[in-house]
Amino acid sequence: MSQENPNLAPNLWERTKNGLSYIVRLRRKPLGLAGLIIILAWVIISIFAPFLTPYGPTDFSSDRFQGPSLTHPFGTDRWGRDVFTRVVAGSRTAFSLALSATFLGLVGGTLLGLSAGYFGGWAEEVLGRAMDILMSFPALLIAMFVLGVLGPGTINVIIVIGIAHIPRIGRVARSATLQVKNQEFVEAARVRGESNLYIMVSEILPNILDTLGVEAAIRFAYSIFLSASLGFLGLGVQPPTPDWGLMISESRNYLQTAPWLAIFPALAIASLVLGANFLAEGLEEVTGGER
Amino acid sequence: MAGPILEIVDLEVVYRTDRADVRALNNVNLKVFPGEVRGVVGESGCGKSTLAFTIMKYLDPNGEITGGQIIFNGEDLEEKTNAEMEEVWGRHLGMIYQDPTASLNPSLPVGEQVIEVATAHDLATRKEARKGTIELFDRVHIRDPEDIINRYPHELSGGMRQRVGIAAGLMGKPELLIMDEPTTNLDVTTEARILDIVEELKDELNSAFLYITHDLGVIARVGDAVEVMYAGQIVEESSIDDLFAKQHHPYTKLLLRSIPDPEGRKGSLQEVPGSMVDLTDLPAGCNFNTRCPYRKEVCFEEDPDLEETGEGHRARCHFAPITNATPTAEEETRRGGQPVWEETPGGKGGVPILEVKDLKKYFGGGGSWLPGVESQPVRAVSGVDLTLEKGQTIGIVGESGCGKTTLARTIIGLNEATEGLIHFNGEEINRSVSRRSRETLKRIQIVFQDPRSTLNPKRTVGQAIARPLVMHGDFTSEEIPQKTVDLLRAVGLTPGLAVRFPDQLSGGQKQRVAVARAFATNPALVLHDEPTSSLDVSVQATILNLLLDLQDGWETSYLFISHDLSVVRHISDYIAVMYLGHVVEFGATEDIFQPPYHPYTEALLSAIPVPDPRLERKRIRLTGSVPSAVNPPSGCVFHTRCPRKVGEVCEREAPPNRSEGDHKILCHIPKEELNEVEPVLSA
Repeated sequence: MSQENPNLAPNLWERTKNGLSYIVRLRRKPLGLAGLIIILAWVIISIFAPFLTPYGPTDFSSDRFQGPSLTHPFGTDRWGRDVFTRVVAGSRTAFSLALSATFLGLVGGTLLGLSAGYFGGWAEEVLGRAMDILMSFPALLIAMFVLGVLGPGTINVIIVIGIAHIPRIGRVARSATLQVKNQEFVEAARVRGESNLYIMVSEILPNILDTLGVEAAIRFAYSIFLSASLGFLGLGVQPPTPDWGLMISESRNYLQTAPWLAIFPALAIASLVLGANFLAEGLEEVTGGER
Repeated sequence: MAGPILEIVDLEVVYRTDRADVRALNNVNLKVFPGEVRGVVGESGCGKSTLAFTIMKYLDPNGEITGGQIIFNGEDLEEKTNAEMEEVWGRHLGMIYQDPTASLNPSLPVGEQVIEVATAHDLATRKEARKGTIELFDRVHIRDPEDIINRYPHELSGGMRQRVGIAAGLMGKPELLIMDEPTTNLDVTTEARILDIVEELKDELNSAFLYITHDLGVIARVGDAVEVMYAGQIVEESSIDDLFAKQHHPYTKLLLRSIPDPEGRKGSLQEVPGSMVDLTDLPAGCNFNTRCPYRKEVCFEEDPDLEETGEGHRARCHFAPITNATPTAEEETRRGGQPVWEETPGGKGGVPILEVKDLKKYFGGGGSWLPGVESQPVRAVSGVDLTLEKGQTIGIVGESGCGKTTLARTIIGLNEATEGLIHFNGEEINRSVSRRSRETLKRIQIVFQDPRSTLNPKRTVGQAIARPLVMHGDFTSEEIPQKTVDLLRAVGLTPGLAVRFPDQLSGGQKQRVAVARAFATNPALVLHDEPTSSLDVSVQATILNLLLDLQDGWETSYLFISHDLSVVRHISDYIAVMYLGHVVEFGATEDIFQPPYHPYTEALLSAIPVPDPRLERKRIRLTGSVPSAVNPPSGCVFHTRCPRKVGEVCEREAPPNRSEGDHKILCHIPKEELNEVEPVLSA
């Protein structure tokens, strides 16, 4: 076997497939594609936020309660701050909060769900029931309670939302694990003498990532929603940080006279949530079906 | 003879997919006459199911008829709307499906589902239909039809459900009944009884049957005429006797020879070289030219027509009949088998590799925290003894639920034994896999059944094969790629496949990768749990040849589990016949296939479909179904179904061994009597 191609060796480990292939396949799913475009648009907006407007998000001015115009496309608020600038800057707050919270929930939920599903037995029972209890309270209620004790603040909001995600992501991870763990390649790994950790991380995890990705998109949308709700209640990000929920909350007294104060942040929330949900839908289609 | 009930003219069907159009049927012509069973045989992907669904107008939404006609009873079915088809379905054109569980409504009593066929077509009043249903149930040999009629599908066994499916298909007295693999999901003894029913109905009714199957043995039993399909075309059409006597198309010839002969012995099976052509990219000329050993230049230029090649015999080949032709392409050189390991401790036989003594595996059972509640365990394996020597193969056969898979899983340690001993290389390994030594883990491997789940879809073939080499640490990281390539070659795959993912491989290739992965640690014992049962016969032949070659080269011992007696006979030195957790007969392969038999072995042998319509055999049919392993019958576990039951002693006492030497038969019938039993199969 000396005529073997010497270049073959490195090729053995080459991966020819990756997450990008899903994005490519999304192009045939109008809904998912629309979601992807909305999300990408918001990502670009948040990256270039400081360069999009001549104002700063917390710059006061004497132009108070101006309606939408060419100089202030979304109008100004009661401190004379430019609403467009604040909505754009708010996307950074929204992204950082939602991404961190989703990540936290994903890590915690996957860890718990994967081990519960893999090991089964009483550990699974205890975890399952604990999650059931956590899930039987509305997430907002728990968040309000915890933030009431810990006090408001960005980090606390991330932790609270992340923890609120754990039961649901955990449940999804567990059921995905159950589907994979009795497949023959997992049994082949056990017969080979692989450790439980290896089997969970290298054999099972890659096969539940698709499902987790879809769930992450849904949880991301929910995080946006929940952080806006908490901001609205004054339990989240504190003023003067530009935050959509906070902006809507501040606009409550001027709904009759200056409706643009509420409308534009609300549209921002709606579009991002919708975009994430569309994306989740599209991802589900491209990862779920064989064709 | 009257005109055909169904005539298909130049039918073409295409499936539209994201990537390309799949040309599922091309230029299909066939006629079905009243009173005949016309078989359609072919391997997966040949278009036989598409043909059935097209006739029924059940084609998937992305399927499209792009040409041709389906003339049924003088009418073109293609022109009918679904509303008009409702008149035809059930009443004139019936279908029986592969999976009776999916075709019966789980929330309606089975009788109701047969009755409604008649009432929906206003053929009978409810009362008459009920009476008719009971008669039909009786005819398909359902015992206590008055009782069964009120049962729900989940209360019936698979075989019973399929009988109900047949009754529902017959209720409207259709002129044509399409049967799509009706016995494929059933055990061989159940299958034999369903096939008996089809044979009886064929004689009694003047209906026509279109019988679709992948199993040439089945069609040899029930068919009158047969269409062989390949790549969406009919390649050969003939009467049954004629086809099995002489094949005019090369594909049919190779296919028939790739089946392990139940009469046959160890040796190489004919392989059909290459794999099924890609239906999105058909070759120029003959569709079979990529695999045909008889191909010549013309085969790449002109597409042959289905032409008369003998009386009532048609074949789609430029050189048909090929009986006198000589192969032009060289026989595929035999691959594999060369040991990848330098040192293999020598000598076959003699050294016991695996010894199993009185092995028991019970699931569940035992007490409960509730006082007085004690559940009975499922006795999956109850007392099995086996000794497997170096380089030899023990085949384990039995129907589903006999405990053969549990036995293998207990030996490899995926289950922990309830009782008994497992010795491997003289060492006791009677514990689950997580508590076995590294050395033991390396030396026992397993090849599983399902090629779709045997490989991790997220890892390349190279990664899958290299992993055991990496984890057991016998090689440096520089040596591993070369070893991986060696292993790929040993199982007859090209090294280029190393970078592929499992979904880019065929079923046979995946199973080869699984074999390579099992052999990566140079095992002394490999368990095979039905490794070929979800593969096509031509692919099965290549895998069986590979396993025999590997065994010759590596002196590996095999424990080979299968429900298919012909396969087990082909590969095994010894055979254990299992029934309800017990080995009822054990012996050298040739002893199993000739008297004395255990009555259960005798019944199994009589049930195998043999691809030879001339073969005579005794008809022994088992009644009822396998009893529950929670509450197995007392005495001899087989007594509830045994056609040769001696008497009350069978219910009372465990049967003694009635044979001698290596051969073991557990039965109450005296040895002399067992010796006098006539052979099941005779030419």
